[in-house]
Amino acid sequence: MKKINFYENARKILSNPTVVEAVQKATMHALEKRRQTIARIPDFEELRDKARTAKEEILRDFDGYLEKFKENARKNGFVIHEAGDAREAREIILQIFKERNVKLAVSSKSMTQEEIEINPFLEAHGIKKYETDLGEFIIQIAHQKPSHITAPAIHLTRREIARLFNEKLGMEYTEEPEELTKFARNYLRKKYFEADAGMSGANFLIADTGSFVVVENEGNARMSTTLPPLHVAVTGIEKLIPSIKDLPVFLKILAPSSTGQHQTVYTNIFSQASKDHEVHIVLIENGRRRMLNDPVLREALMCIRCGGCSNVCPIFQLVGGHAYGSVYSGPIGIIWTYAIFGPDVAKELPFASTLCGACYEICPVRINIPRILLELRRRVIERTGGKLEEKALVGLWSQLMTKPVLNKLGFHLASKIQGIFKKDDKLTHLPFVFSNWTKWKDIEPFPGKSFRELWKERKNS
Amino acid sequence: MRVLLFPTCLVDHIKPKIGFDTVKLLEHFGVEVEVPEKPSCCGQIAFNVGYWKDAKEMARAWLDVYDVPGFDYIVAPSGSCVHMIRENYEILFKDEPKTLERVHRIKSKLYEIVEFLTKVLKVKEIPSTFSGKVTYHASCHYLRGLGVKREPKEFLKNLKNADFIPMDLEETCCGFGGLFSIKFPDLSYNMTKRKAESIKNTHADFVTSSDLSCLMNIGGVLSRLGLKIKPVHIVEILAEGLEDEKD
Ligand code: SF4
Repeated sequence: MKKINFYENARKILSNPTVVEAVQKATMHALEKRRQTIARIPDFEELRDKARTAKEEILRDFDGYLEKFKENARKNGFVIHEAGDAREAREIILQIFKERNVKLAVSSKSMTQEEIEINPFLEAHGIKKYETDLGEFIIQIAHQKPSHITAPAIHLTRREIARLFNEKLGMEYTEEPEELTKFARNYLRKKYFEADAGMSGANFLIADTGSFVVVENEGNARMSTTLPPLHVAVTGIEKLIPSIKDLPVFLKILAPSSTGQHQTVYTNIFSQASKDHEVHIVLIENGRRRMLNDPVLREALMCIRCGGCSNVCPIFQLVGGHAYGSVYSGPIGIIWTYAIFGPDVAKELPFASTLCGACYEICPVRINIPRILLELRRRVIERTGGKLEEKALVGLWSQLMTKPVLNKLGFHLASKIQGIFKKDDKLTHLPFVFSNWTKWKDIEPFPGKSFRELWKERKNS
Repeated sequence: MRVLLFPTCLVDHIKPKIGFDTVKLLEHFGVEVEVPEKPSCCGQIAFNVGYWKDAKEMARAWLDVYDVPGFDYIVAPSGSCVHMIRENYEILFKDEPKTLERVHRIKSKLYEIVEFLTKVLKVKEIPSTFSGKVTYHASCHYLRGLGVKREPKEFLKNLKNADFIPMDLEETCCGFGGLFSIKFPDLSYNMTKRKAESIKNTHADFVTSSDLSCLMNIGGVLSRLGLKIKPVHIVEILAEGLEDEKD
């Protein structure tokens, strides 16, 4: 993967007001619904604590719980596969499909499948896979990538979707959401019955029962995974929770934090395979062990992918997920992208935040995202040395603040020469890196004397 | 009670009035205030963009200036600088037990001004007046970092003659983010513009906050957009109508 140019991407998106508006509307709507919903869950904060504790327990003995899950899952008749990276995962899935002569597959929404880029790979091997989640389906026919971890088509307006359905699927042009949904549903319904295999992700892997959970709103996951004779679930190993007793806690926090619903419409718990319905679970490591062994990054493994931090992020609200150039977008996506795709690809991303902390505040499992971003920034600067002008600026400031003589001299000088950048008593066109500030913002001129100097004068007068 | 004032680097060099108004408030409530001779910066500008070596240098110098005997408290007119020292110095000096000791010693004495007035001095109301319509921007590190939400707004509401009008995006970041605004100017501007619109919708004459950094950022855009709303620090509003003890 090439280096992700976050700012370049963001600027392109900013020049497209339709996207900005669509993303803003959708995220603000989800936040408002969240607010209303949690107002009616009196123990929401305690539920968050409980969920956090359960995830901490997983991290305390990760391998123990993983082993337990695998063992119990096998008892349920599930076939367990383990993939170290994306390539291995793709090969495993292809192998399963080839052995069973799969030509057509249907799938419910799964970010892990996006992560391993399974669709183009299967396509290249002559296997067609249909996305059955409405948002993912739209993205698929538009040949785009998801722009939000739970709402993949968040950047598209109804009009754009109407045009897509008209052009790509030959539907008569309409912007009626119900009509569009009905059309997609009928279009996909046939595929469920024709498909040789169904795929899904997993929201939770339950260690003490060996079962796994997929939540959804459209019933498409249920049909994708049960109608075809084969079900392949693709999931990251971090989705573990200790016990089925913990599940209600997670279900109670997931939907409110995500879409603002009390509950998702469907909660599917898979707990048994049978002779005529095979279930395979592909457990994906792909960088997660590195995270586990990293004292700062490991906290990010607790993420339950609710997307709340994206919704609340003022940067995400403006530019949406595509700016992040990765399947995982938004604040937590920065961390995941860094961890999975490496520091060279993601070196700009940790800076794509004002550290405002809204993500930490909303995160149902209380992941301290700003704290992790700070650490990633430190690492990037340590690796790369930082940009020259920025380094110079920080260095200069440090000198001015730690050397009283330089301080006095520097600010007196600044107040003397600032006149040439002044217009109407404001600094409006500063040079060097500061021009990035005055591109959009005026600045008050420096006073001739510092507060400390004036204070001293006042005391001595 | 003796307080050592940390004016913050921005107030010191850009808007000394905020320093004097902080002193005015403190003195009004009977506090004796002293100001160090040396300049200082908490170091967050470097820390937040990953330059921890420079941050350490500034933080160490800050500790040298403020970790001194003879003062009961250290007070600053900034939520984000207090947040930096209170929350991040421990990260910065995690491998230096001796420095950590100093950090712990100082942490318990350090307060943001409104926090200090309400938590330490137990002030319920500022006996002052301010005429004008005011809206409030909750600075991120103040609100979510220090957890101060209600108090500054209560103060504003209870000022005689003041008309406090909350904005809908009160708790949304203004887009400053330190060097963020210089690294990604277009993005920062669009965030600030959203904030500016929310401010404009209140029809307020003034926008206030606990942090000069946010106000410079917001004010910079308001000015460029030709909007006449004035950015003022919260201590400027609170101190405006107070009798000057020194007069
Ligand atoms: S980090 Fe927290 S808020 Fe963000 S997606 Fe994960 S669980 Fe949700």
